[in-house]
Amino acid sequence: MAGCFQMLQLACADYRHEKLLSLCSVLGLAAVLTPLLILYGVKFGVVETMTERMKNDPRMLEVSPVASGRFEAGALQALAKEKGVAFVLPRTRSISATMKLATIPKASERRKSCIVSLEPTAAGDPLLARFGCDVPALHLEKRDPAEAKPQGGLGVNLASLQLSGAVLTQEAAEKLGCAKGDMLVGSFERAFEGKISTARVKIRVTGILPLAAQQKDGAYIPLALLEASEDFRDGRGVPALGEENGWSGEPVPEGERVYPGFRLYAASLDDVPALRERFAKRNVATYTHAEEIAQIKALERGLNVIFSLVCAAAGLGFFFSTASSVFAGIKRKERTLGLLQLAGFSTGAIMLFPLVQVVLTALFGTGLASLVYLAIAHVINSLFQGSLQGLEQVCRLLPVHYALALGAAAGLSLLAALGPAWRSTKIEPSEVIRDV
Amino acid sequence: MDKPVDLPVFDLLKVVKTRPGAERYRLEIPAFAVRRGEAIALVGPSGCGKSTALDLLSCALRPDQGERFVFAPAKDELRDVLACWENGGVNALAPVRMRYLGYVLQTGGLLPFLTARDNILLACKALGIVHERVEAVTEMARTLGIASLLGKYPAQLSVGERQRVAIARALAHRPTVVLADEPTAALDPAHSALVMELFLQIARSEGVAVVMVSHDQEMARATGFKLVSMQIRSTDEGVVATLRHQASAARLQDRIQEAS
Repeated sequence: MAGCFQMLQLACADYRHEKLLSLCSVLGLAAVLTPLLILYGVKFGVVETMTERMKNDPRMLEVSPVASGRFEAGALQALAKEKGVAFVLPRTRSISATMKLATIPKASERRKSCIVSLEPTAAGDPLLARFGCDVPALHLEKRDPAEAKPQGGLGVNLASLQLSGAVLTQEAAEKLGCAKGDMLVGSFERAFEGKISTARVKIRVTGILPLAAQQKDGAYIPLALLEASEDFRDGRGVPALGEENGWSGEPVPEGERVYPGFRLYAASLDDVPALRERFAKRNVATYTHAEEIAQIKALERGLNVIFSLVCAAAGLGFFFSTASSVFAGIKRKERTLGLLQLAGFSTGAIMLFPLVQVVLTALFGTGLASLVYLAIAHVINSLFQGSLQGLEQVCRLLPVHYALALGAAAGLSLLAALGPAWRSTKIEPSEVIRDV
Repeated sequence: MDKPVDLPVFDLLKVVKTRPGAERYRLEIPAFAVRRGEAIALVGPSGCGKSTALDLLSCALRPDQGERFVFAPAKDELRDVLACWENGGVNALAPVRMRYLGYVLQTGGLLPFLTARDNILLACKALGIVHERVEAVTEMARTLGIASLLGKYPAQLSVGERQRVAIARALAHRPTVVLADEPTAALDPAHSALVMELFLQIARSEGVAVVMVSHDQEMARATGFKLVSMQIRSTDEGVVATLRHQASAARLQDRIQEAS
């Protein structure tokens, strides 16, 4: 409608003309909005940083059984397909899950060795993926036992050993003085029927886990090698790894293998408490970080409540101050509005006059508040730079937050201005156009 | 210009407006008619409600009662003002007001946040006829002696200059009715005469109906306005003012009807 569009132009012209008063209302809105933006920015930044750190740490998603149980291979495979489970792998008995690693020294060097505890790993291991390590594999080759000849200073025939990859922890790697790609000898000891015997494999280091991932001396090896270690210590033989390498013994019995435990990672933080419940129902007690996760969530909820209360109070104050200033403005502009009515503008168009002006105030006020917020946020983030990593920010707002702030300011302003604007249509031109 | 047998621009019968308040005041219009091209000057003692009468005619003030109130600003435009007030309130007559009416206030008829030019072209912009009217407006501004002031804001103009801008504004969109409330009160005699002659000229050449309130009876009569007096009398109920004027042709019609 032409009348409405022109009314828009008139309202803008009047807003521009009353520079000082318009500036006052813009500053008033910015003064209320800026602290709210900072408050919400800090809340969002802090909670986001904490949540992101948790999400990126696979150990937060770990669910481990407390005590030993009896888990069949088939059951664990079924578990892998359950909702909320990202990765699951059986564990063997911990007493048999150790290995002695030794370097293969060159001429004048001293041999270094270290005993590591073992964990199974397979493709899709979230821990290895997070820290950028390749998943190790067992490389079995057919060997001719007749070719067995002792070699190397150990009296060990290195050529006949089977090869497996392994990911070492930083502690273990430092003790052994080795790096990615190095070759080591892994040996397993048992005392069986009064005799002590040793079985060996070659180990190639496929990766090193930093301290952040795991602190003890450990190695992540393929499940098959771990099972071999368990079988060997039970007195069984593992022909695939070579009897000439020490892997002799009774044959492994038939039947499904039963494991005492498992390594499990949930798909997301929200799945952790659910999984814990599910296992509890199956009488499997688990260690999880559910409490830590719940704490962060409770913190976020609490902060949201506090912020909402502060926002409500500020909003209420802003509503009433806007209503009163619009009312005063209309009283002041009674003559103008009366003249416009006399000139033939409809009451609908007349109502637009104050409404357009509050929207202009909301626009400029939110813009100004955003600029001041950005400056202060920069200062806050600089202050806390030391304890932040990478792209983390203590004080942060997304574009959608700015849009919401503008929407709320405009909406609240329009609501506050509606009453006085309605009153403006009741102005009788004949009463206001003359100086009495 | 064609002279159709047309209705009066204003045709009022027994219209009454009461103003409540401490001094009870009542305006009675037993009969009032203004034809196209007629130039009337309302005169009377101060406080007799000339401005109220003007507001009623501008359709911005609602009458309390009346038998007939017809506003016919153009050949095809006819409004039963009483019915409009009944049904649509003040908005019903707004478009007609904007197109056909020019109102001149005694003082302060300008919007302070627009330049003189934007004030003058206010109605033209709303009607979308700026393009057609630019030449005529420029000519009028020259005639009124305000051509050099068009870029200024009202606050920068003297009272007399503002008044002349207000007059230009009232005439810019080519209204068919001009209502003027003491338009020359703030002007010097030379400009007063100029304005009154301007009104007469558009009344004669363009058939604009002009109703002017003025305290300067002599100049009005000398210029060519028809003087209409308003009477007031005090009664127990307060002040009562009466306005009566019938266009000559209408009077003739009445007589014909009475005769037959």
